[in-house]
Amino acid sequence: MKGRAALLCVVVLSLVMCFGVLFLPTDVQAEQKTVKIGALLTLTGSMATVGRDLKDSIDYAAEMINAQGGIKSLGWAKVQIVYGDSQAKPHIAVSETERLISKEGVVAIVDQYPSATTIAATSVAERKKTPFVAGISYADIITDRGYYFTFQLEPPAAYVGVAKAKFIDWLGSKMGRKLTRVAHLFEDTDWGQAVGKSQREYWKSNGYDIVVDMSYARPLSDASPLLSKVKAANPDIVVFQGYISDNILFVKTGHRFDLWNVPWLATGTCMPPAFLEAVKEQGEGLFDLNMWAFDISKEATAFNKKYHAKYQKDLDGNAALMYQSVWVVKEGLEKAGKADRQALADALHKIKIEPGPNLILPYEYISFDKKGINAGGRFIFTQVQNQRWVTVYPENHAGSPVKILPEWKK
Amino acid sequence: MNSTIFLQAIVNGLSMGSIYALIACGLTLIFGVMNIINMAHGQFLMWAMYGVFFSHSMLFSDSYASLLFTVPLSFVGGMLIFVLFIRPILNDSPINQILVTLGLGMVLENLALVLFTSDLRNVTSGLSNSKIVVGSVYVSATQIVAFIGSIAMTFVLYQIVQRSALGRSIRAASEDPEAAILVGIKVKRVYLISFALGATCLGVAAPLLTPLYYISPTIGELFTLTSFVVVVLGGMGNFTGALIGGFIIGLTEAFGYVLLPVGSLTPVLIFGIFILLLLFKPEGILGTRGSRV
Repeated sequence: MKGRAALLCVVVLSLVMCFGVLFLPTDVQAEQKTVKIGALLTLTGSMATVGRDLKDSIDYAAEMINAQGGIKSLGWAKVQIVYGDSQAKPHIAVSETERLISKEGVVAIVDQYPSATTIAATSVAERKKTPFVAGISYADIITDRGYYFTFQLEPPAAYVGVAKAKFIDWLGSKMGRKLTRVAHLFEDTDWGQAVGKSQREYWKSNGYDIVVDMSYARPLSDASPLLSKVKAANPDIVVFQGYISDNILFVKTGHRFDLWNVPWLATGTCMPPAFLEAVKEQGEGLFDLNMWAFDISKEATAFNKKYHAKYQKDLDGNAALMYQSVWVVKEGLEKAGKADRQALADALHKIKIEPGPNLILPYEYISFDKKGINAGGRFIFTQVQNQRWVTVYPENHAGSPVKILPEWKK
Repeated sequence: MNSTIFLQAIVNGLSMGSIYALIACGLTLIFGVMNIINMAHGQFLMWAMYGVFFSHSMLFSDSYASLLFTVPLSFVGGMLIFVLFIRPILNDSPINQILVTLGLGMVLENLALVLFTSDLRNVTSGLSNSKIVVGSVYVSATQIVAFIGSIAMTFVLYQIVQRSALGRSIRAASEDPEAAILVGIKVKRVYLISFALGATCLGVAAPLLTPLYYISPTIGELFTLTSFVVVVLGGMGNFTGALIGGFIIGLTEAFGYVLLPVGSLTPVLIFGIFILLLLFKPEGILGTRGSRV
């Protein structure tokens, strides 16, 4: 008899447990749901220091989304980030993209740079019909192929030459003389070549004199040969686009050649905290084309304060782009209403994110055209002042006045 | 090309070339004595560079003083690696030896990534901001130190091998190991010391290089490839050849960026020379077929 009663209890309890789930509040049920987003970063290899830095911002984005409850249209599903390591090598990026899509079942992928890995990875994503948000890379070929599943957050390379020319003119007005003699150094992979081409074409047709126009193979073993040529050409400004290790060599060697007597302008790859730690006071006065900085607005300062409290570092421009990329996928999923790759891609082609809590970048908007380009993207220009990046241009975003180094006046 | 650019290219080429030569001397010594191609040579250098970084931040105010730390460390480290990984493969086929040292290089690189993180490190010396300007030609104090230090170390190494009792043993062991054993030379001990001396070259090169450079776990790859080109160019196992090879690569690099319209062609020029030499004089500039230390 006792045995029968015990068996009955077990059956009743099991039934209660099974059916009970159906009567739980929906938000409790939703805690079981997750939607996986892949993040392809350079976690090891020559750009590991950058990838590790960006990982924090992606984790932070997922944390923020989940803290708000998750994705509403998916029944408050939580976001889970699955990482892939491209090692900054295209063939590894291909296999990692395959793994993220086929094995991990991610609904979309966000990606950093270099462009060479983005170009390779987007081909796989297109074949597998998986939305791919290129967070930082912007070599022309990424969007020129007309891929339906590729979305590029940064403005196209052609914008860089125009934006830099405007900045150089503005800087010249602050220095009290026109800066027309430009020394131009660029690394020779897809990104450096694309930006180099856009700059050269725009500057040449707008009255600038390109006194040095040199590509180089990275990583550089010695920057002296390049910079001795720059020194001899007596430029008004040095503009360079290289990756972080080459940038450090440029700064160190530039000081050795007394080339810091003119302004230097980088192209969005000097902002990682590791760069400033490496060059220390030698970086003072350097300019960088940037996408975000803590001082562009009160909201940004407040946002950075929280980020700094958690990670003990500023959120830099590239990290902000990666943070935003995750939010783009989130907004797409909200619009799609289902965790389906095709539906998400369709939704991403239709979304328009306006300035507000969902858009931390100083963009006019985020909306992708047929080629996947976001035409609402804008650049800002930052400068190292007292070993911290501050915004100096455009003036409506400037957190600090531009610092004109005494040696530039000579 | 005006004379300033020409002279500046010579200064840059000689300074970088001397460092390439010193790094290559270690490689050529190891190859010349025990016929092993050490694919982990660049990673040894990377570890020595971290030795400079940590001793500079903890012990010495000037990075050049790190020599006191990196030289004994690299000698002992070299002996340890020889005993653990090289001695067991001395009689293996060359392909096995290459694979073991290649694997060792990967282990050392990834170990550095875990232990030291991927952050790029920078080291400065009291001489970092000192320079001599002759006309419009810039010669930094760090370049002069690198040049003199590298040539001096190469000269010392040459003297050890050519004139000392140890050097005679090294040469005997490299010429004919079996005959060396017959006349009472402890060949395995000679191998051990030679390998450690090869690593010591890097212990000297690292403090000379770091004020001009940055430090990262992946930096070794760059120098492994360059030092191989230098060694093959000069003649495998030949010190003077390594010195000449180092200067050729350093000067080609310096003049490449100055003379060529596209800077990216400079590596093409370097490897073009390398391939031509392999085709027409495969034993290297100073090498004779079968030549050794």
